[in-house]
Amino acid sequence: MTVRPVAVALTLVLGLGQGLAAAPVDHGDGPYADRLCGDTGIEASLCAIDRQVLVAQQGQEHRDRAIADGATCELRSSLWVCAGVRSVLAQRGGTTYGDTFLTPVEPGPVDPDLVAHELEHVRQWRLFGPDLAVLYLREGIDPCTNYFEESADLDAGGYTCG
Amino acid sequence: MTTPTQARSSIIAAGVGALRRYRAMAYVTGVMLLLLVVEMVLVYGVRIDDDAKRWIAWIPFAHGWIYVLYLVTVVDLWSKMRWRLGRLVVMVLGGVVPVMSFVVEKRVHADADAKIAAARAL
Repeated sequence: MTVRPVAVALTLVLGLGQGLAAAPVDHGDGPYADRLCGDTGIEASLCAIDRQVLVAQQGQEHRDRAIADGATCELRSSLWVCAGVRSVLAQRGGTTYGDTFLTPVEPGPVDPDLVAHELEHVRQWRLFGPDLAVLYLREGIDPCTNYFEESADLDAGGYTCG
Repeated sequence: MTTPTQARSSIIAAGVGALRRYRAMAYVTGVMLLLLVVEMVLVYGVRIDDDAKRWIAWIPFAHGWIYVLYLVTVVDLWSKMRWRLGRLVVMVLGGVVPVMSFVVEKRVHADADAKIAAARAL
């Protein structure tokens, strides 16, 4: 793999921007704090760049597959939304992989609250990396008791919990 | 057999090389030091959270090692130019005090150029 300094610099600046943007949930205080990248030394930066790139790749792969299967993908307030996805990957009202939200719903307006909810999942992918899949499943499929759904705001995600 | 003329020109070439390496490192160190100041303001002044801190955590690490390389070029140039001890202290501090490396580099560059020109004129 060739290292492109401009791409690395851009990733660092964009990443810092994301980090500086208001963070609704501090996962450093959460149960999976030990699965985050460290916060000092060059390892911390390399780990963060690596996860950022993986999230972009993961999202790109899912978009390519969704489009090949006849879905339409578009960028809506910095979230990639692929509508009309007929696949087991689009669970419930839709599922976010990396920076891409796959939903079985036909193309149309998407609730801003739902976009905010899914963007928190994108942030979770960026912070925890591909391991998020394992951590999420370990939390259980019931959204009402799932740490990652709770921290993305259950109401905004359209979940009604008692 | 090296003639005195050849010996002198190789000594001058070594001085020119040392100056070039020092100048490159002085600029890199100066820029890194400014980045380090920005990093410290964000971490200790603005108190950004860990999510943001991660993206600039490489700066102190990189600055530390670049400063070590800078010191190597400083000692190399200083010994080749046969300057007094005070000049070494100033050059070492140049990589610690923000912006100072640019000022010191300007002075050192001029003095070294003069010394090299004088050696050539011998």
